[in-house]
Amino acid sequence: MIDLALGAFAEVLTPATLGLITLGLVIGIVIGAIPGLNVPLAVAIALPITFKLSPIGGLAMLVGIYKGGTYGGSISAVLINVPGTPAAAATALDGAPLTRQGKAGKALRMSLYASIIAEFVSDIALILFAVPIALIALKIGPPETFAVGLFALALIGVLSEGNMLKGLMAGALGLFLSTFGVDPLTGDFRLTFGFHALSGGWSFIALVIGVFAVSEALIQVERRYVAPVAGGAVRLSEPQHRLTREDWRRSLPAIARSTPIGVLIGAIPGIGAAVSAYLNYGISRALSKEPERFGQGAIEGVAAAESGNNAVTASTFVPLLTLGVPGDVITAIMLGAFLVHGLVPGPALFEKETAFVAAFFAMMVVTTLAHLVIGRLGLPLFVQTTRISNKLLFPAIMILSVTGVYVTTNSSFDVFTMLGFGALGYAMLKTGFPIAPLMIGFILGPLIEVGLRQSMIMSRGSLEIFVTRPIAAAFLALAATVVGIVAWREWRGANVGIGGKA
Amino acid sequence: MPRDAWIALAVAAASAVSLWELGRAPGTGTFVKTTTFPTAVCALLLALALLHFAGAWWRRARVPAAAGAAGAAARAAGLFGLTVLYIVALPWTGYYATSALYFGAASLLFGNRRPASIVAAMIAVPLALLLFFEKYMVVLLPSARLFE
Repeated sequence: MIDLALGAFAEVLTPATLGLITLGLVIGIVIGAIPGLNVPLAVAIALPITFKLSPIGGLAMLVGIYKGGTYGGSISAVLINVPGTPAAAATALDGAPLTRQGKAGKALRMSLYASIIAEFVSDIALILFAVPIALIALKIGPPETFAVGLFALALIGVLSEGNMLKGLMAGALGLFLSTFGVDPLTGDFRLTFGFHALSGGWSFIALVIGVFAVSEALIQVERRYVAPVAGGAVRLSEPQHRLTREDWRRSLPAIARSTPIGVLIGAIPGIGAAVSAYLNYGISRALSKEPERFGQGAIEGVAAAESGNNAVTASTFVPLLTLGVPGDVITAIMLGAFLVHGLVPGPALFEKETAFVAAFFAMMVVTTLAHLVIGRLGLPLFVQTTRISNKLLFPAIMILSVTGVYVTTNSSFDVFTMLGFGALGYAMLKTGFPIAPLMIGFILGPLIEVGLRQSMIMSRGSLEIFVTRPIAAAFLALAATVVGIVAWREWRGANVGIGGKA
Repeated sequence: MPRDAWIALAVAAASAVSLWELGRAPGTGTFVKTTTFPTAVCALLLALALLHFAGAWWRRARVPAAAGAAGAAARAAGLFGLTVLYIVALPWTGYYATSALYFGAASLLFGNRRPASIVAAMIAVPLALLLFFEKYMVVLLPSARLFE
């Protein structure tokens, strides 16, 4: 065990991997800090670059972007009251008032430290719980795989922003898109409409970059006359920007409470950082002896939101590594990086690729420590990123998107496909359809289909197998319950809105 | 009618066409055929899309267009069209020249009216990407077929 750990750290603590972690963190923090850009977009654009790197090197860069970006959103939230990421919106509630009081440095420092503490605890939780869960997961077969996949998709569909029907439609659309091209079991072609280019199905990288990067550029070009909100100069060395003992006394209980809740939320597919940030902010406010301080510049509000937000960053890998089910959009994109390197997440990964799994765990811890160093040293520079103009940024992103798909697939068809998916993502964003279920549906499609068909072969065509196997039955019942509860709430909400009291 | 109703209608139409395509394929496999799962998902998608369309139709209300909405949509369409032109031109005029021109045009579309910053970025951004991909990643980007 000790040899395994030493070998893992030796693989991670090389100049190349440390350089990639640093690069990923810097990119993530900068992207996260720029309103309009988000972490999935940055991970999607970086994905083709990582294909040429070693598995740990490529994933180190992506994890760096993920962790850095999740924290980076708080910089613009605090400085200009424009959250860089949806999850940072909860940070803005108290971070922006602190800036107006001339205490931006306090909020920025607390954001960083609360994020780091939460990330570290989340890393430890991943290391401690991933292996036991994987051992249990080894015992599951195709019916359970089908049921877990369906449960994850249903959860993501109904819990996404917008109404449930839109979430389920987006999820079904993702599933449908995944069925184009070669049948994963028989090798037959389907849904090619006579086009040879469709025989391999839709390109994953074209879908990811299209729905995240291109759609965002199309949205942003519409807002071109909205003046960028420039951050004022912040001198972090001044005394009012430093954290005091009183600030820590108020914040530590919030961090201690929010972190385990965030870790738990991260391990459940489909909930994500934004829900964790808001939930923990709400809990801290509800439990506070001075709730009236919240929204007026309470440092513990920043601590609760940021620790809740970043606590999901490692635990979200628990379902991915152990069950092969991505917990959110970012891990869904990262699944592509695993697969390109011949690593199939799931229980077998822990048996066949023990050294890789150990190196991955070591990389998560090292990335958190590097995050502390880079975040602290680079803070004076990162605060300047809120001044970068979208007028230069988005044209560069569009060129990078086209180039990224071209170098990955070497196919003009896939580049046009990316543009088509960009238009689809734009239309979905404009009409309130969530993007996450589309992505997760596309990723989970083959898993669900193969699980279903292998189950049918095992049971000689009988659907009873999903009822007689307890784990599969439990997950299917949970999926039906979640859909039922949300449908009931939405129906009641609609009726109250129309006929009753608002 | 709300815009999301049109999306639902488009999804329903695409699902119907796909169901027709799946119906033409014989499908192979034991117990569950090659086409069974896509057909089931497609039918579900069609049902959800029609349900959403019906709901949107039921709740329909005339929503006045926001001021400047037409111009905003035109800019989005312009960026889309510009990107199509960029992708078509890439193999003919080469990566660097095409990307530089695209950057300039897109930057104008995003509202940049500072010539110095546009020209500087037109030179620097494609050059940085070209060097990164061709020299560091050793991936060949399109050369100018028109001038060869």
